[in-house]
Amino acid sequence: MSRQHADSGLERNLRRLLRRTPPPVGFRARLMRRIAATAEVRSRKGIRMPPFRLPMPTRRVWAFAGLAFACTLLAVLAGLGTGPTGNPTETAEARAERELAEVLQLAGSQWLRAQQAAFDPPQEYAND
Amino acid sequence: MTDSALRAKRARPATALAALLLALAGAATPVHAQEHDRGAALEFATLEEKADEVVKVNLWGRSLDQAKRLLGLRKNVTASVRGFLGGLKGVYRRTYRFRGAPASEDDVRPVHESLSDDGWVPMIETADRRGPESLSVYSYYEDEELAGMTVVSSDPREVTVVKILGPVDLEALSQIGRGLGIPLMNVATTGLSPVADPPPAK
Amino acid sequence: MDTRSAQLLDAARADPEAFAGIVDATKGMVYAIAYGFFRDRLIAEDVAQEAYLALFRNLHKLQSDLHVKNWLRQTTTRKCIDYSRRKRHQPFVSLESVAEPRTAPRDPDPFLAEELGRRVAELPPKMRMVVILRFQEDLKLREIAETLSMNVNTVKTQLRRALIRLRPKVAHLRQEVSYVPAAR
Repeated sequence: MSRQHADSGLERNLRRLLRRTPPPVGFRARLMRRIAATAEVRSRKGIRMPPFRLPMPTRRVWAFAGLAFACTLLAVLAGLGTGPTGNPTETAEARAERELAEVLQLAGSQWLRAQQAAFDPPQEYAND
Repeated sequence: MTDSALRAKRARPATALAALLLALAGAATPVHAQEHDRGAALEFATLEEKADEVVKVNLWGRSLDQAKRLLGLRKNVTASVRGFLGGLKGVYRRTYRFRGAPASEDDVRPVHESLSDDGWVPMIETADRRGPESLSVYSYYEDEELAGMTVVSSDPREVTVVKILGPVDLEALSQIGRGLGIPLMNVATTGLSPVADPPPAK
Repeated sequence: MDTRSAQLLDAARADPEAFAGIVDATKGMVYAIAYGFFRDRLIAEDVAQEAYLALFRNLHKLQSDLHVKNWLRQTTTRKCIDYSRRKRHQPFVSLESVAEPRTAPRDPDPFLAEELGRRVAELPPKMRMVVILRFQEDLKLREIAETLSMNVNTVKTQLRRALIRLRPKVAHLRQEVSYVPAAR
């Protein structure tokens, strides 16, 4: 914060302490997948969208594979450490929660799509 | 779906091991292979061999209980969604993505055959007349109660199977699909919430 | 729009990798505004994603005189305020926030920073956004006015009222957290 202001103490504290929080890990990847999904859904509905294909260079596939392997290894080690009755870590719980929410949202949106397709067909097919 | 039907479709040892490792990565808890029957019933070798990217989610038993508990604690979870969550017995997802050779109808057929063999009944089947895209919803009944739902969506680039075991509250599921009921958790593949108009370009 | 932005936009219309480049260049600002406003990682990410979705949908509409960064800032602030009105969001510490702690505190007064952030998050939506744009994003009053479609005097008023509201709430914290005996 370089700009000079005739600040009060509170203003100086606000300027000093209100700092940017960096985006979480994976933010861009999740965003790009959501944009890809939006483009796909909209193109199905006939809405014009810029072309979009999710980028996935080979090196990233390998990076993901490596990361998955590392996570698996850590999880196995954590499992060995805690034993069959040990308490799982909070992070694992949070991940399970996120996965549950994701799958339910996926199922819910597909259910709505199916309903829409079955009971509210596009105009072009309405008179078929 | 009955356990015996699921056990009958147990996958090859290598696939089961992969599913087990993924479950370990997801839950970071010791999971015993012999307990992990239901997820293994969702293995589609043809798709898996051909796909460039495979996503597997198996939530059941303790990992599902933990997930339900945490999700239920969230502030904006509605009562009907909370009730729906409470009854869930298993939630599974398989997504196969194809960047090279596209998925064909022949690749997807075993998915539908497998579901029919296991007693799932088509509830809604839609197909795009102009393309190879399709979307099917299957239901499973026990004692005349809706006891599960499976959604199969396919297009040349992606095939997704989502299986929900337990009483399915369709109204709660619709709420979730509209982005209500539970917080959006960086949903990657779908679940688009309505977006307000952006500000006018100046 | 500067030349680099114009080139990025042209490229992004055809190439998702280039769009990802825009995201990389701006995500710090977009996410930080949303997080500062909601103090909730999940909601912040959702709102930030929606801002980028809007950008993606409107790439073809953007004119050469419009800077991507300004457009995104304006869209993000509006989405934050709209979301807050729609959901009547009350800030709370989410489980997700707890699950992924920061590696290390980035400032000398992490507790004061956290407390101050929470106090800011209790302000009414527009007032809160004025404070974030002013002190976190270091914008000039005129820039804040443009972003929020207010006149400069309204921004000044909002800012003054925000400081009046915050002052008694945070007065005790400095003593409590980073107490240094005064050398008188």
